[in-house]
Amino acid sequence: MFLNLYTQQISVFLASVSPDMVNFRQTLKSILVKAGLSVIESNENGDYDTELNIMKNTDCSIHILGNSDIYNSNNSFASTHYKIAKDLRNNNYKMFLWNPLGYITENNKYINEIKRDIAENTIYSDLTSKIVFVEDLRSIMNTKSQVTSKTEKADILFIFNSLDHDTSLEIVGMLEDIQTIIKLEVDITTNTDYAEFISRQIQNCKLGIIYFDYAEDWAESFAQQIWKNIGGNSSKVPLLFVANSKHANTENFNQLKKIIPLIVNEKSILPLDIKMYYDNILENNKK
Amino acid sequence: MTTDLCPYPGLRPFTEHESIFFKGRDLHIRQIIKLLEENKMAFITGASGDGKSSMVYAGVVPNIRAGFCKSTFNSWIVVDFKPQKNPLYSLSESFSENLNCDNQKTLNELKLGFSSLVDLYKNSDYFVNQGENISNRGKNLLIIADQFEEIFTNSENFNNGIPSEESYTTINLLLETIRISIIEKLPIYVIFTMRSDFISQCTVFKNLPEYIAYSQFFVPQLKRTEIRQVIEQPAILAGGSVSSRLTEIIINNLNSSFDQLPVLQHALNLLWKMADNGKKQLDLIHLAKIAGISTDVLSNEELDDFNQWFCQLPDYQYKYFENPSINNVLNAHAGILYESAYNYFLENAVWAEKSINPDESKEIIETVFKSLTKVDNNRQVRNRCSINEITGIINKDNITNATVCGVINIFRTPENSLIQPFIDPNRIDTQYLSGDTILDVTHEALLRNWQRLTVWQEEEVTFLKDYHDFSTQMNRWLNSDCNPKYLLSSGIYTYFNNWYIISKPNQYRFLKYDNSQSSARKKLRDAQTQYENCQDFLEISEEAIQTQERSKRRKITIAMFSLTAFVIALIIVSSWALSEKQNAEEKSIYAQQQADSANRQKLIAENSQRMAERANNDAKFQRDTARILALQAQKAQKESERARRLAEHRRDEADSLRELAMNNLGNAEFERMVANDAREIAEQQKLLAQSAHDSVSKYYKIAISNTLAMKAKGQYGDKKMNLRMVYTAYLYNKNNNISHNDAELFEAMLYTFDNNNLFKPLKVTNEPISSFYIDLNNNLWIFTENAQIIEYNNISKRIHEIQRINQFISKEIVKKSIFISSKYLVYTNTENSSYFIDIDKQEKTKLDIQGDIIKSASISSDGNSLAIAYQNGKCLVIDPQDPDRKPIAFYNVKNSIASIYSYGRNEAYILTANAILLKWNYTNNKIIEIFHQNNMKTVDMAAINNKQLAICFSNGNIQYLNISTGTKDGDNLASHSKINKIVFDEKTKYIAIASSDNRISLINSKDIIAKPFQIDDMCLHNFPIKEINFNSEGIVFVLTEENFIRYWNTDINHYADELNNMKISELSEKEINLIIGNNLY
Repeated sequence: MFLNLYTQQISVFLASVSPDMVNFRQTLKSILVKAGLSVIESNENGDYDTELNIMKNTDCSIHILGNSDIYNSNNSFASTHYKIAKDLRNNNYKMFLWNPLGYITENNKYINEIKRDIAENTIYSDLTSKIVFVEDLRSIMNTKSQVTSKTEKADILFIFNSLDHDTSLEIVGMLEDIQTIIKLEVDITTNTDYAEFISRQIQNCKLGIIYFDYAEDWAESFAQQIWKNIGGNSSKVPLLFVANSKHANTENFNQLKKIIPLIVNEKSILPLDIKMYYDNILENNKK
Repeated sequence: MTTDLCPYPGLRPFTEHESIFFKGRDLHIRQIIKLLEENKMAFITGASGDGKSSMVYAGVVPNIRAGFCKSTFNSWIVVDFKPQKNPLYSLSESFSENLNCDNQKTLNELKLGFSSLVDLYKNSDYFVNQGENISNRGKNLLIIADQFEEIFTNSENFNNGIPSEESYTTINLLLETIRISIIEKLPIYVIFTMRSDFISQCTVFKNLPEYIAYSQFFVPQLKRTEIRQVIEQPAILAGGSVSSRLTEIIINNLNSSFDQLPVLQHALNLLWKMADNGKKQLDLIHLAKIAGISTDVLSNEELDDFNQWFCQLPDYQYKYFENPSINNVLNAHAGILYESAYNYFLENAVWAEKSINPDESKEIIETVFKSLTKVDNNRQVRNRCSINEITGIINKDNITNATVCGVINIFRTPENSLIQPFIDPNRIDTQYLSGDTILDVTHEALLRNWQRLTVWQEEEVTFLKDYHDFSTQMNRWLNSDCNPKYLLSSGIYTYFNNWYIISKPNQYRFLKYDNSQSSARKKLRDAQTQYENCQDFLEISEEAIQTQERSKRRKITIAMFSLTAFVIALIIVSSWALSEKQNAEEKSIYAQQQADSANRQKLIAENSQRMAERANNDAKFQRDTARILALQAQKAQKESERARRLAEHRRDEADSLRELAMNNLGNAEFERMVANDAREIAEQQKLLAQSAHDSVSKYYKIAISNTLAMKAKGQYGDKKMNLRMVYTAYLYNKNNNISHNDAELFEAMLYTFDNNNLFKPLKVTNEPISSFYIDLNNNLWIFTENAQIIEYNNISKRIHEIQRINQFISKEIVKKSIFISSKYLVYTNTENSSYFIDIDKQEKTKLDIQGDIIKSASISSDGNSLAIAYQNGKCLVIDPQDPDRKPIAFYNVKNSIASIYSYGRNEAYILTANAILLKWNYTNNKIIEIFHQNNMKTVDMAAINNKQLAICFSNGNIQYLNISTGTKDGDNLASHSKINKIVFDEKTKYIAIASSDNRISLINSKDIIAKPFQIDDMCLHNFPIKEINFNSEGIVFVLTEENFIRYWNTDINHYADELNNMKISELSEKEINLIIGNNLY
């Protein structure tokens, strides 16, 4: 099914607003409820900690930006809620800042300062439609939980195509004496989600290896997609692309920093080559 | 640390190579792959600029290549094409390029529609039957029909709501391929991408709407989280980063309408470069520097930095920063390029003459972009155009193709990429484009976001409207045989003349709006004619207007002159009359005075009284005379006026009579010419009609004979009736001297004979036959799989066994055997041991090469040396008369062998399976390569008349190579399936080929282009062919897997004779009419 049915229960903290936005806030609250969201509000009689405790129990907060400056002021619930949300956003708490006017006037110039202050987990919007704003919020907050496969810790994740079954097992057999290995045979006739598994399993390893002999058509594309899934040049775990010298074509990897092409002439010394790379990686990680 | 790669491609789509940076559509890619897995197709629709092509090329394709699409084989072939102006040709070109086959042959095959595409794939090297288990050779096939809307936007494909034949065929091929792939579970998949605003037009094509509904994917608009990925992830993958505030502000400022993604990608591309190629974090300051955001949002420190940078910009760039926004980025970028193009041209276009000024540079750019865009059904769309056409539209002596190319190059650099083809920085030759090069705007988003281009577009719309109005007037004039009545009147002429002077149209500009389906050359010719007509129409209208004005002026002058003369005459007459009147009055007064005096002197004298009375009477008379004269003057004035009117009327009449006479003269001349032309045309048509009549008559007869043959083949009536039908068809051909459809008739003969059980296959032994041979006496030699040799008598008559040689019978099964003649035989058994048998001497010798299978063998012309080739490349030569059969020569080709052929006394040609032909001189063991065709597979060869080698390729093609010169004599596509074997018959000169679809084609070696006679799979009862041989009478013998030997005479007259002998009667005319009815084939 291609539809997202938004079945996740989301709890939204609707922050206090300046007097010019009270009616607006009330309408938004009704729309949020209609959208199936649970709306939590402050009763505006507590201190910072009381408000913090209320907000902590929600998934995100909405701050409607009106004409009073909540960025520089210290004496309104609206500015307190804004500050609490800023403190919470480091813990994956999402804060939605909404300027429903859609533009900036002399009265709400402070919004420029708010914009400069946007950091991770902050969503700024100047949409004028309440419905679209709520739709956006619901879609951002509804992240589907995926069924994830089990992963385990190991030194190396060794990936190969079923076409190279025999030679791969031979190499893995030799490597297993010196490193802990998780081997993954890719069989394209099955329904397994290899990309998902590899991108999670590799986080538990120090090195990923993609080995091929006959499956050259598959290997290059596969390595590129895996490189992309694990974070590309920003990935913490490098990939060793081990190619038989007959088929090696590693030109496309020249500018991809976290893919190391390794051309094999002699299969028997391959485990030693891999070990060398592995040790280098450990050494670099220590530095 | 970042790479030098820019992870944002800008306005152009992502390529497959850039898939590593393509983010934001992961979920949609998975959904499309699921559609492909389940339905074999995905019809991807969406708005312009929502990234359909990028999603396919940088998303779906790399993912399936990486094995994320469940299919049969590990590897993929991707055949992608855009319909352009001939969709079938585009498909064929891509298919043949990717499957290594000949484009022309592929095109010919694809023109047949339906299963053609599937057949080509199944017969290629990339399709492996599952039973063969060679999965590393097989490849899945993905066909991508990108920008499918070109079927509708190009008038060559779709005009006035009617699709071209090529469009029909292409769509039929794609839909049938999907259908067959689903039924046969073939690893073939088809993706279409099309702008959704063309979806309603798809109903024109049968079945297409059903297939769209079956597996459509409507590209969704990206959600905030997905746009965030589009912005941030590529930078991260390239080792850089984007600040959260920049991401939020960009997302927020993006329009949710058209062009969201191209505008975004373009801005990100510029941002990356502005941030020192990603070495710095992409942030608000960079967005401000590309005119994408107001500086209000910058901190004081950032604002200082910005101001410092801004002050260094040339003055002309300031205006682009007046209304900063994400959508303004593209406008500012294009505008700055427009204004700096001249300097770029001076510095970089070394090949072009610098004979233009900055204004001309801008004029060139304006013409280029006006030419590259057009309005189609109120939609602004791209319009591909060649440099030649653009230079033609500009039409200035100092502006050549080189100048145009040099000026627009700034739009083609990799960092700007607004016009394609782009400049490749690694290939200097890509800077200069030839006149034939087709230019195209990279993305329609440019049309909607570059304000200057929008203005140009509006001008173009106005031009087009005026052009249509002008054409309507002009066509009215042309259609009335240039009747002056339809020329432009003065006011309208002034309007269109101004339009003509300002817009300076020419044939190339008119060409742009020719939507007909004619060829490019014809269109240019028509545009030239149109252009000349326009000029004529304007010139002639101008002349007519001037003539009219001259005539009007003359009339006024004459009228004025007449009036003046009249007035003068009137004045003279009136003055004279007045003077007379005054005289009379004076005299009257004098007379009165005299009368008074007379009264006073009454008494003085009576005479004086009478005189006074007389004088009074005279005065009265004078007064009356004056009155009469005044009346006469008035009358003269009226007469003069009438005369003037009459003169004018006469002159007008004379003018019209002259005009009429001139017209009549022109018309008469014209009609004479028309009559001449008509007579000539009539003559030609008469000849044509005669020739057509002859052709029709001949083709009618062919059609009758063909229809009878086809109906007989289709088992029309009872079996005997079918015999009568083919017999009648034969007689029809014979009596009318027709040979066009001999191949069809031959096929029909074989069908009807087979259906009437008139062919008796030879079931000579129950032992499985390995191979057979027919000697010069037409005796049949059989070698069974248990190594028994049996000789039968002349097989065309009653067959009986002559001898049976049992002494070579072995436990091992014969795997492969070859009769060299009725004297010699070689074979390999299941232990891969190979032997030579001398049948006469009944000797069996083990050959020196073991452990491999004999593939081919051939004996020299003097019979003293026998060349034997093994499957894996070893070749040896033995003397068959040598009792030990020790090798005279040995050579290892180290390649799989397809065939060997002994030539002369001491040479052999070796054909390898990978299409290398070697000449081996085995006296000095020298090898020469004669022929090598890359990426092709060969299966067998045969010598034709000892002069040519016919080399069979696995794709069904045969190449004819001259043995003495080594040059190619010709080729033909002999089969649509893989050929397994080829044999040549000296007597009939037929080349017989056996193909993997259980058919035998008999090709006439004297006319290889003629349609071959076919013995098809029905006659072979669907059994695969093991061996073919001819006997000395030209009868072809075939051993099939059912262990029967079937044979057919290759002469069509033979069957007719048999039918005659069987007293089969010819059909009457009435019967023929009844059978054929209205259905002629």
